[in-house]
Amino acid sequence: MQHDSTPAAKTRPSLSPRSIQALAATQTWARLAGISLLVLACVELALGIANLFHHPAFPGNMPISPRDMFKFTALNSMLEVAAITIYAVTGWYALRYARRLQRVRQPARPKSEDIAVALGAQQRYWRLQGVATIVFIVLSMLFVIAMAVVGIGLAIKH
Amino acid sequence: MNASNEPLLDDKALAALNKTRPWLYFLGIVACLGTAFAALIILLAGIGVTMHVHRGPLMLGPEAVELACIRQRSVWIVNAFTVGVLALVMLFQLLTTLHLIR
Repeated sequence: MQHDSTPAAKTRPSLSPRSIQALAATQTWARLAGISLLVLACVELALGIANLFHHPAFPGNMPISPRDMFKFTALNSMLEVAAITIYAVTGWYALRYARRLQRVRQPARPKSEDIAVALGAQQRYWRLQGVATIVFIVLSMLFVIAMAVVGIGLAIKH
Repeated sequence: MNASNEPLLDDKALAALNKTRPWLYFLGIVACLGTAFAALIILLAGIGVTMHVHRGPLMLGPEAVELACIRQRSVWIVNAFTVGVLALVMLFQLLTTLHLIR
């Protein structure tokens, strides 16, 4: 293993064996999270297909026009596609982080670059989770506002 | 600061740690708002505090790095558990839907 012996390098913090062990110990959990997210994506896809044939929100005796049903199905499908994409991409990011930790695990002797690459992958995973959460919150708020506007409009009409 | 056989945390690694911090704070706050993720907030906030704000690498002590690494494991355990439970719930929902179709 090569080490930087410049004065600047001497001031940099290093990772103790305990830190490396703790970092490497996240690999199993990151892998489990990644696999679970990919399973979620598959289940969401299967649910989306199943809901095309039967949707619990609309029992058979509920009067609903084919046009409204089409609108609902289109909106629902868009949301399903968005959810599947988010689950699949975050799952892939988690698995990528787990893969990059392979170089950090014992008996490998990790270099600074290996740790930087692993931490970078982890940062991207959490950033994606954060962005997905922001998008979810914004869409939820828009949905609530839209529902309120529609509700007020219907109340005024009747 | 570093023993000769320990890998250094270079600028890239420190930048990655720093950039992770605000996302963990954000997700921690959101998790706090959702009661289902109450356990996650403590751990995310904990790791966020551990990754202390610093402009230069000098301010990140070895103890802080070690604590951050140890707490990250807890965050990943809760994360994996939460996602795993969600996957099981969704699987159950799928089985129920398939049963209703039949």
